[in-house]
Amino acid sequence: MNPSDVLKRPAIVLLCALMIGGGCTSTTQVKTGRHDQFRNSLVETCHLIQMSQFDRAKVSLSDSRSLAMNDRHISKVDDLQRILRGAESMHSGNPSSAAEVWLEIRDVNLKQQFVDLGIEKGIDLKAIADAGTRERRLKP
Amino acid sequence: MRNLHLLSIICVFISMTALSFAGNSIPIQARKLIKQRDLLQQELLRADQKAADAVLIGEDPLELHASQTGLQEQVDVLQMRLESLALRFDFSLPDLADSIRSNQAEDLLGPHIAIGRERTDETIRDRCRSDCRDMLLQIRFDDFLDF
Repeated sequence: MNPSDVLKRPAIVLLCALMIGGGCTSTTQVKTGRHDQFRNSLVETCHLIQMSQFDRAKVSLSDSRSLAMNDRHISKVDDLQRILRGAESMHSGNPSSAAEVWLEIRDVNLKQQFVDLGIEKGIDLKAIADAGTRERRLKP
Repeated sequence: MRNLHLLSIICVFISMTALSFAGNSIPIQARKLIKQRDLLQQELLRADQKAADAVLIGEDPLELHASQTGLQEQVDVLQMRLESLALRFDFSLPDLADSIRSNQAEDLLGPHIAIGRERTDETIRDRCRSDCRDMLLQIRFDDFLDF
């Protein structure tokens, strides 16, 4: 065996290991970057919803949806979508429709906050949602 | 002679008119029964509507069926009496209504409560807007965003 071959083999193995390692790191960095982008987008959407800037919140939410990477992310986007839809209904003077949408929020904590804040304001979300459903059923 | 002729023509005209009216006039007793029948028919139609609504919201309309049956029997009895009266006194019986007439009380109240209803709607809109703003400001997204 040629002595130079003996040296070459570990060098090739080392190079391969470095390349694989580098690739993995790069993939992880891309994933982390996208996760952060998604999170930042959600933060912005939440802020815009809190400020009642619904049109801008819709645009931001659309960005969030495009950045979502898994079911958990999609579920969060869907919840914000529900909050937004409910807020728009409430803003246009349709509390029963708002209550129905807010009560569909999957995140237990967020949903409870809406129920509790409603009670604080003298709005029984469950009762008005039920009344809205009943009214719709009675309409021909 | 000429006056007598004129008088006889007038008398004939009056008697013919009276006869034609008499043929179609409904006796007072029958009128009362028709009114009673129509009221019961309206009540029955409302009971039908109520029962249908109950079924649509998943309730058992058993009691409503009982009242429907009772009302239907009353309407049938009145209708039979009226038909025999119509034959005897030779008058045409008005048909039974097949749709619910609007409630007169509601019709009268409508314009009076319209302003109140409008004001209430406006107040609800204003309140919803301000309450919604307050609620959204107080919502804490910290846990939701902690992932």
